[in-house]
Amino acid sequence: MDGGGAKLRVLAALWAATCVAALVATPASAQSPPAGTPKILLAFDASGSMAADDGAGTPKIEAAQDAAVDLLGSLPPSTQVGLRVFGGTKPSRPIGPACRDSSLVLPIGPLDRAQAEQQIRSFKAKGRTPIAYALEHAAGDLGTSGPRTIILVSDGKDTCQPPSPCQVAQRIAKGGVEMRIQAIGFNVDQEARRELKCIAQAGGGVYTDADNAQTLKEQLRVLSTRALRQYVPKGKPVRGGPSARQATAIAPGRYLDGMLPDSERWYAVELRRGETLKASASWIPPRRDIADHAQLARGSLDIVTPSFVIPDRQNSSSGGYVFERRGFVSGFGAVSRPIGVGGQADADQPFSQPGRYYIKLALKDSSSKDLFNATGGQPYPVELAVEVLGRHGGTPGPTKGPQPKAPSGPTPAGVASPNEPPATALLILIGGGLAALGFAGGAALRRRRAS
Amino acid sequence: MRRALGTLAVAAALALPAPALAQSATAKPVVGGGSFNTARLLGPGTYSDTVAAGETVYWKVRLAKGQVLRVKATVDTSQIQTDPLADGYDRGLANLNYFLDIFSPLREQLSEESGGAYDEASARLEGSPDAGAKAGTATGPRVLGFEQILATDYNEDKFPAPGEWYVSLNAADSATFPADVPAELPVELDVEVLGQPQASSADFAKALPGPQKQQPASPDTSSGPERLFATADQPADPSLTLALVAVIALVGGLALGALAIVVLGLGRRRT
Repeated sequence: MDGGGAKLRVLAALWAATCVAALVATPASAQSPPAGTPKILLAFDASGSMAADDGAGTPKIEAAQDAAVDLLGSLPPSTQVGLRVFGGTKPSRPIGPACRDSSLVLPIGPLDRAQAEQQIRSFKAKGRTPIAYALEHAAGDLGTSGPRTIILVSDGKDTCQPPSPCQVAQRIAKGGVEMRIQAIGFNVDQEARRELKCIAQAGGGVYTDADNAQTLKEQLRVLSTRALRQYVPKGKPVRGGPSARQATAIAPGRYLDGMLPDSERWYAVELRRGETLKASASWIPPRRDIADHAQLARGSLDIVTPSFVIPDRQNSSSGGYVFERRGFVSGFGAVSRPIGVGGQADADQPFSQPGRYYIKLALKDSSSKDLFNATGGQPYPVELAVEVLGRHGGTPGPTKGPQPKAPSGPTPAGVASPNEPPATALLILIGGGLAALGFAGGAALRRRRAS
Repeated sequence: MRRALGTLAVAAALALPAPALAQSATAKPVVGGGSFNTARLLGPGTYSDTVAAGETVYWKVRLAKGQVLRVKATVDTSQIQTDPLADGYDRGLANLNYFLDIFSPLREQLSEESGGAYDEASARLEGSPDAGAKAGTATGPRVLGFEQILATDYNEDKFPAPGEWYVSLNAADSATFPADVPAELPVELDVEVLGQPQASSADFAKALPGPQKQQPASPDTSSGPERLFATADQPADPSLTLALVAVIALVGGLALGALAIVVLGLGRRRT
């Protein structure tokens, strides 16, 4: 054997190992946030007045920094949040540069807490208070789509007018209801309070006083929670099968699937005697104007027996219009009867037999395909909650009951499915890798003996 | 001149009357969630929150058998300009519709019950445009025990069972009157839970009698092992088949590797 061959074998083994590592790493790779994910931009005052005492012996700038760090520590890591400061780097004169002193110290994106804290602690109190200038840039930082909130924290009024920050807020708010400006006055006087109230009102938000560091922390949390209260679909990604016989087996828990109009999704749940299946589903409009286009779209949720029968039983099926009003998400629910006991003990009853029951979701478009056209053929997120009453006290949990199995069919774009673990491909690759290593080892042995 | 007009407009906005809804001194500030998943749990009491134009806010209340949920919502609309000729008028905001809805633990809108039995579980908030507030009350049905719904001839198509009931407040604009500017409005929520709680558990079914004799057909598949291959009446589970292929590949690869070591090593010895 020559050295080139040995190198090739080593490379082959390394290739196999790399493939394995890549497969293992794939599920953990970062994903872009779903459309409609709310974004928050904190706009913090770092003007010279923030160096003053907050009344408790701490400079206001430090109290504000503490509050920001506290807030970021409480937000989910996936939150899209950024931080812009105004003032902080230029002296009050000359006025020109001082009134353009605003920088985005933390660009909007998922939280990196360590980096965020470092950035937050880095700015000092200095210079003027260019609120209007900062607001204009903050609006630009947030982009033009999706729910967006600016949370403005200041201890004084804009010292760079014109333009009036209130008028700037009005102009920013004309972008629609998805953009709001909230304002917190931190130890402010009457004049500053009046201006900040005007900004909040013009920006479609609310004004709040924070007289001390603790209140500032609390108000930041309240406003952030409100900023985040959009209907963001949640659940373990799953893909239901296209028919009963290709249903995806699931355990009790909360799931998120994506459905095209005029399609069905099927899931299977194993039920034992005495257990009761409970399921609810909500279709989430990806845009708030979907209700304008698709009022005739209907959804349905059915529990189907092991014999593939949809029982004519009250509340084991439900259906109706899915997008009735703007900004509103309704729900559909279905419940079986206790399997094989009581009134369902007789064999001719629909819920008499333990075994594999099915949950069927259907999304029906209007005859003019309004639902399909509204998104250009993108799937609609649907949340599915499944509970089995009478199983271990009825507490739902994805770890109980049968484990999810690999679904059939491709995964829709943007919805990763943990039910498609890399285990199968991984084992095949490991097998191949072991074979390759065997060949390489054998060849190396042969070469050593030859020498 | 334009700046002066702008200043006047701002001054006019600030001169709007104080909120018509005087926040109750006992109202506890809360922040509702943006979805069923993030609904804030409330008990009986009075709460203050906000709702934004185009938004739905969710709360939830835990109810037991025998109890009735009654919720009154009052939205302070005083900051919304209702005079079409006045500065700051936005027809979308002026025409917002406010809906208060109660949902069962199955997240189903109870007022959608086909027989109309639970119509009072939803309310449209009413109030004169110039009154500065709109209010409405939604009342859910009495909570039934699991045994009353699941083991009887209960005949409604909703599930008023014990558990967490959801309440939502929706400030809806429309395609006809889209809201072009944002607004966040104060809300006061009065939550009442009427009636004495009674015990009820979904485990009641354990005490129900099973079949009198063994069923000859359809074996209980939940307790038996999964089948790897299809039979006439049940398709194979594709994931199990794939797993089998994977295991075979793994073992095969291992065997092949071992074989390679043996063959290549022996080959050298023979030479």
